[in-house]
Amino acid sequence: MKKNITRVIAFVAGLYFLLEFMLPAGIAFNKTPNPQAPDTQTSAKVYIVKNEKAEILENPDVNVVEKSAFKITTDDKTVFLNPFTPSFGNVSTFLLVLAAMALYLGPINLTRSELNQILRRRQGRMESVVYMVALIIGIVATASRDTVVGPPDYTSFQGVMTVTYNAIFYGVNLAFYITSMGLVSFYLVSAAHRAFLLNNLESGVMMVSASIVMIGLTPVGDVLNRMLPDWLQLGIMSQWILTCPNTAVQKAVVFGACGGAFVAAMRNWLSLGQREE
Amino acid sequence: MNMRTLNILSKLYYLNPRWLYLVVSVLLLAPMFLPIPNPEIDAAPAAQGVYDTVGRCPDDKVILIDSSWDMGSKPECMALLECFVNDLVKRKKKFVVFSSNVFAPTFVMGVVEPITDKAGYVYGEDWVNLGFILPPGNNQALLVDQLCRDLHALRPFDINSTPLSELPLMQNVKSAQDIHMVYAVNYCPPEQWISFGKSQHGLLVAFGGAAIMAPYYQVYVDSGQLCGLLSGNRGTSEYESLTGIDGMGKKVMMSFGFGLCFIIASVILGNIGFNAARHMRRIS
Repeated sequence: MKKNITRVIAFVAGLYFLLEFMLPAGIAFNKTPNPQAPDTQTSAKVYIVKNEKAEILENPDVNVVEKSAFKITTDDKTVFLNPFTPSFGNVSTFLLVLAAMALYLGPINLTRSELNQILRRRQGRMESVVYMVALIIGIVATASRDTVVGPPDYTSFQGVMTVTYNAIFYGVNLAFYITSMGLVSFYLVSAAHRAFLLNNLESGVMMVSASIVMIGLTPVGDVLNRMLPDWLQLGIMSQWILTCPNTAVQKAVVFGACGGAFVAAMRNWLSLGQREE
Repeated sequence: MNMRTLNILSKLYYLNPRWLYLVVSVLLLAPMFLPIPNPEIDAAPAAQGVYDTVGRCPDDKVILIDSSWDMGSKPECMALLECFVNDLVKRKKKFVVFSSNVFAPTFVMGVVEPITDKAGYVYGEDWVNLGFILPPGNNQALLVDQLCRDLHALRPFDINSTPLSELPLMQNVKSAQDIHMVYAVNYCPPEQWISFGKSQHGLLVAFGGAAIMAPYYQVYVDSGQLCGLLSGNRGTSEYESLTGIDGMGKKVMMSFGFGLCFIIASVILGNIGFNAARHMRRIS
């Protein structure tokens, strides 16, 4: 029963977004295109005949404040061009609420697992203690810090919490993150030295093209370009590699990935292939 | 080649990586402290595309900046944002900036505010910072789509919790129709700007991303779906060459160039060493 409810909700939600996106503007109205009144402001074709929107557009006394592919706003009313559009904001807000609920699932599960680690005195419980301390200080500091711009008042609790928040965020978190990303550059050089070996033709082609693109990106490439003849310009060769062979390969990859993503989306939407218990 | 030479060359492959790390550190740091003149960089068509699109922005429209990078991509993305904002204030273009990453607004403020203050830009009239906007359902597509349809409904307040209706600039910026172009700066800018912003709402879209992402996004420049692309420090330097404002891009360009040259050198040294070691094994 629960599974079926989830399936129905997933299907209806998917159908809503699909129809809202796919249905052309003006579908809610009598669908006769009016060639005399093309909508020059938008790419969507506007249909006008015997409906509220037509009355608005054809009435010179009505002041059209805003006209887009989705709605027409006058001084006193808004007419949506797609019957699903008016509720789009509410549905999106509902998604926001769902996401907010899901946001707590991760921290709650992690905290339970770390707490278990401490209570059962398992190996590595000191790391769990560090996690718990950081979590508590982080929550208190974030909730109690002074959000007013300017130097904090060190004598007040809010001021101390502001300093704590800054120390956690800028002093620890930021430094850790930047250091870990900075280390990538060292591993990159190490990998280039040890792993990028010229074993066959494919790796040779890759190495030559990568070298041309990399030299083309450096100031050395620009200096060399000024000395080299027209037919040997590194910048042009680098651009050619990026725009011709690279584009062909990337398009093939994107086509394949999009096909896979489409199939995965369809399976999710129609709740196909779920494990039966 | 005798065994002695082969033996020496094979040591290149078994070199302790710490030596490589040391050389990389020196090469990356030295240009920042030595008085090396800024290099002359020729702009690629992708950077020229961004520059030209900014130039075509009419006075009644704004440029939207999606700056969602954080500390992980700061070395590249900070300069990408700085050079773009420098150009906007130089050419007196109005802009609105927002982030879809909770960490990003702090970094945005650190880059944009000093530039706008120096240029005498008035907050609320010449530029607005919307701060962090949570994508509905954590879905970037919905964020882009809703932002293009009705910006005020998605985000009724700016970063200082001031209602958008009270900001003179935002009174005229309500949907994609009021936006000339979008410039998305991130390690890997969201493609939803192409599929929804460009295709569905007709926005001009330019990306500023990490250099490593350039081959991926170049496809969209080629197809005309991106009006321009700035890739990493090279892209920044190219843009600075076009604007004539020397900034962070050219400062780090020499370090970046030395780093890339050393990667090429490492590949060559590694292959010489590997082949020498293999040759030695065959002989012995």
